[in-house]
Amino acid sequence: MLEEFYIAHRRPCGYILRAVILFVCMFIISRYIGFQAFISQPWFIAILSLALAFVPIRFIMIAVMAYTTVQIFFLSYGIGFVTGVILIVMYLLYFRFAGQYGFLLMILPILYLIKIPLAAVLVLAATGPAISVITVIFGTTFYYLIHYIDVHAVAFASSSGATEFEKGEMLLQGVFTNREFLMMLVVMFVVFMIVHFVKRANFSRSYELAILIGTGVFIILTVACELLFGDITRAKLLYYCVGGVVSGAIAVFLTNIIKPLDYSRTETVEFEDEEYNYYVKAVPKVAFKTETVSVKRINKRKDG
Amino acid sequence: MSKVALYEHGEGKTTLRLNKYYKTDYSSANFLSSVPLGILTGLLIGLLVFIADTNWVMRVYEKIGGTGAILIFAAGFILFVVGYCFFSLYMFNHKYDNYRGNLRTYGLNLRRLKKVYEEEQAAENAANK
Repeated sequence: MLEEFYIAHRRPCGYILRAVILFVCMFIISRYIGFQAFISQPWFIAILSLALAFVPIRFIMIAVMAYTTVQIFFLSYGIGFVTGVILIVMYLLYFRFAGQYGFLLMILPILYLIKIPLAAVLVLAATGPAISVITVIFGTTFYYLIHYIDVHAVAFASSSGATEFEKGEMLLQGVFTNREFLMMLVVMFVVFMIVHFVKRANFSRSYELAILIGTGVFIILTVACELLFGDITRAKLLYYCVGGVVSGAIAVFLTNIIKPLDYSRTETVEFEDEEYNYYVKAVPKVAFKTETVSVKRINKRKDG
Repeated sequence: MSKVALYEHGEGKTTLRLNKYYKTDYSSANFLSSVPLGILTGLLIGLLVFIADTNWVMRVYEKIGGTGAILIFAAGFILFVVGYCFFSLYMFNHKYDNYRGNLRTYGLNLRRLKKVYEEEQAAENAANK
């Protein structure tokens, strides 16, 4: 039912989904760092999201980056400039080559807010190439950048003695020496790599096992890091444990339920035994559902 | 035919442009375009480092002198730009390889379609005669 609906309305579904994700992302950004009242209003964000839903993903990402930078410029020119430079560097370093992962840059802050960032990391590690770990790193950086500015907005605004240059310096030093940020960066990187290499193992249910191991590693590493280097609280423990388990469940759901909806995907597998090389091409049955075969019967001519 | 049409309206919009190039031409062109962007990225990262820790930059400057500091920063910068260009080469090669499989299938479907048309044309001609 869902598959048929998706197949029939693939394009509008895509636009609606884009608009919704964009709206949620920009709405969250505006709640965090909405320093300009006009462009933080929901109706403005809704119109902007609808307009951007029809442009290629690369431009959507650039627009979100520009939106973030403009908001921060209203707090401080120095902070806005530094944020803009960081976002441009992110784009030039990776998203220029892999624009299709730009959406994750927008989704990750949303997931961090609802405490399940691991879900995106697990899904990406299970379905994407190894190099896409850069997306996770940049997505995490983007979230902590916004979060840091939000938390220290009053300090930035009230530090009238500091020059714009000093404010930029404060931001960079604050973000890139933030213990939680660095810990999350390392943990996410390790989890991504483990999941990515386990899922490539040649046995059935390798995806599920990879996600399970990834979830376990995330919980162990985050709790261990907090015990060793930080101050673990009940809320943090809940965040890491419950958030990790929920993320794992979502990741299993997405890799098993959503992925087969990609009806156009034809998978190929190559493997060998002692005698043969096998080249298997798996075409989903759903791809044939819309095909209607009409058989024309031609009766034999009766002579005489 | 529907497969060909679906491909042309979907992924083909991006990938069919690649069909005009050989892999080496495509990668080389993108490699060259990466040079100015690599320089820009290097400069921006240098700027961020300078803003983040001006004292460290000044300490290096005082410790090893103006020429030495410039040489070290220039060497780091050049290394970064070269690394960036090779990374972009890898990424564009990877992109080309990914799309090439689908382009092959597209080409195969096109040939099949042509064959069907030719058969139909031949049948039509035979019927007209």
